[in-house]
Parts: sequence; C-alpha cells; structure tokens
Amino acid sequence: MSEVNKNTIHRSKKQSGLKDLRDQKIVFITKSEISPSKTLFPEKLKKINKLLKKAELLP
Amino acid sequence: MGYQPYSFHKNLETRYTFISRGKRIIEKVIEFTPTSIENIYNMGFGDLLQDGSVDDKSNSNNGDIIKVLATVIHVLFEFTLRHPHIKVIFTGSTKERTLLYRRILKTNFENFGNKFIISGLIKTADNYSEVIFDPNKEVEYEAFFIKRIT
Repeated sequence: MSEVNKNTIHRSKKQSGLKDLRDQKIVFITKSEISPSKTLFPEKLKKINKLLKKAELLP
Repeated sequence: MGYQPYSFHKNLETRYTFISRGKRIIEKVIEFTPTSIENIYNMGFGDLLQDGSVDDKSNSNNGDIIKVLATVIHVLFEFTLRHPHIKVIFTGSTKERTLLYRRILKTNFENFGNKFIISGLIKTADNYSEVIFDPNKEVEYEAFFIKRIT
C-alpha cells in the first residue's frame, strides 16, 4: 500500500471516530450528587434559594 | 440530644429514611439537596406518601416527636461527618416549626456548640444576614446553618 493510501485510511478512521462521538449521548457529570429538579422538596429549595440570593453570608 | 433515635437507612448519598412508630406507622424522609450556593445544602424533612411525594407541612401528631427529632439530628450528624465541608441550611415549613428548631438548638446548644458552627439567617431592613446563633438571644431567625468544626 502506498504512503498516500495509508494516510487516507488513517484520516477516514479519524473521521469515522468523530462521527461515532457525535452519535453518542453526551452526559455531563456535575459536582452535585442530586440535581435540584429531582429533589423531593422543590418548594422548600425554592424558598431557600430565594433567601440565599438576598442574604449576606458570613465568610 | 440524649434521646434514643429510630434506626435509619441511607437510600442515596443524600437521602435517608426511617419509620416513625407512634400511633401510626409513618415513613419519614430526610434529604440534603445542593442549593444555588456551592457547598450549602438544604435539609428537607417530611412524611413520605404512598405516591412517592412528600408532605413537609402537615403535623403528623404521631406521639413520638422527640424520637423523630432525635433521629433527624442523628442523620444530620452522620451526613456532616461524611461531608464536613458542607454547610447545611434548614428552615421550618411554617413559622411555628422554625421556632421549634430554634428551641431545639437552644436546648442542645451545649452538645452542638463544640462540634458545629451554628448560625442563623435574620431579616434586616432590605435583605437577610447570617449571624452566629446566640442561644440566649430572642432573635427571630428565618433559617439556620450548621457546619462541622473541622
């Protein structure tokens, strides 16, 4: 196989790999263990976030 | 708090359940949820209903309030021991319940004070301020913070 053909195969493998990646469902791992939307206490969390937004906290 | 708590289960990293065995059998749930501020988690507590939802407003009046609250405190101890960098915030679903939490903190301040930094959120003219909890001052708190002394 010529050098040119080898490069072509290498490139097409790379491109195929990118396509595979594009087809994957991307999952973002965040620091929080439970997302706020999944809490059993959404109202309470809303109230607390509202308080915290206006709060001056100790360092 | 020297009262014997109910045994509890850790269902998830941040969710605990236990059974209140008073006049009725009631499943209780305690959940720690991240707030909008990093490392501050809200502690929610209520009755787990059959449809999977939670009621944190009703007064169960199950005749075992001291044991239930002792269990909540033990869970709080356990959670903060596992996550000492996390500051837990909690407030009552009603004004009366927030007052009850203040009474508990006041009564047990000797036990808590050397293990935790306890503070509260008070209303100021146009905002809220976090102040160190003073058991001897009659202050109206909107919420409480508790964090392990590390």
